Amino acid sequence: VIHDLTVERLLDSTPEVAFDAFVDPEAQHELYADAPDWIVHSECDLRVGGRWTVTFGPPGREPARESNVFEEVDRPRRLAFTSAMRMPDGTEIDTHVRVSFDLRTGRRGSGSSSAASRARSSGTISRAAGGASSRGSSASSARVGR
Amino acid sequence: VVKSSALDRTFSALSDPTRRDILERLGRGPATLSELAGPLDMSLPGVLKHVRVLERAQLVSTERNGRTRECRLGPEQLDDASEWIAMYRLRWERRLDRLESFIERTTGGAG
Repeated sequence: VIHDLTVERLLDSTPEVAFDAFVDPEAQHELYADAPDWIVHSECDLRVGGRWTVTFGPPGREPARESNVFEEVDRPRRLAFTSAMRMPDGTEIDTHVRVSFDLRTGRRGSGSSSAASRARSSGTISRAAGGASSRGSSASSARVGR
Repeated sequence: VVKSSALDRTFSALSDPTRRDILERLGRGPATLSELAGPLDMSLPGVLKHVRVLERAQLVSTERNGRTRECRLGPEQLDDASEWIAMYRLRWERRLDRLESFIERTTGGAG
C-alpha cells in the first residue's frame, strides 16, 4: 500500500541556503534530535547514486536508522532519494522522497526573498512485529507560512 | 480502509507547532499539564486546549490524578497504519520546523 505525504514550509531564505542546510552534516543533529542529548550521526555522499545514512536516538538506546540513496541531486532546486527508515522496534518505512526548494518572491517582511521547501514523500510502511496491520491510503498537503 | 475523518483530525492536530512540541515531550515519557506548560511558557488553560485537540485525535490520553492531570501518548496510536503516517508526517514537520530555525540561527535569514 502506497501512502502519500506532502509537507511544505515557507522559509525566510534562499533555495541555496536551504538546500545546503538540509544536507549539511552540522545541521543534522538539529534536524533529527528530539531532545538535546540525542546522538545523531550523518554520513552524506551528495551525488546521484551516493548514500546518505543518518542514525539517531537517545543515548544508551539502539538508534533509529535512515538509509537514503540519492536519485537526483540538482542544487539548489531539487533532491530525490529513496529512504529506508528502520525504527528500533522493527518497524520499517520505505519511502521515496522528493524535496524541492523554490524561490518565492513577494512582499514578506522587508521584501526579502524566501524559499518554499516542499518535501513530498510516498512509500510503504511495514511492521516487523506481529499484529494486525491495517491498510489505507492518504494524500495530504499542508502549507505553513508565517 | 482508513476513516478519513479520523485522519483529518490527526493531521489537523499535528498542524500546530505547539502540539508537535507537546507530542515530542510526551514521546520521552508522561507529563502533567504543568510540566508541559513550563517549557512552552503557556498557561495551564492554554496547554489544556492543545491537549484536548490531541486527545480528540487519540494521539494523547489524559488521566486525572488528584489535583493534577497526567498526559501520555495515546495507547492506540501505533496500532494503525494511519497513525504511522501521522507519526511519519510529524517527523517531517519537525524536520522542516528545525530546518527553519537552523537557517534563522546560522544566517539570521537571507536578506
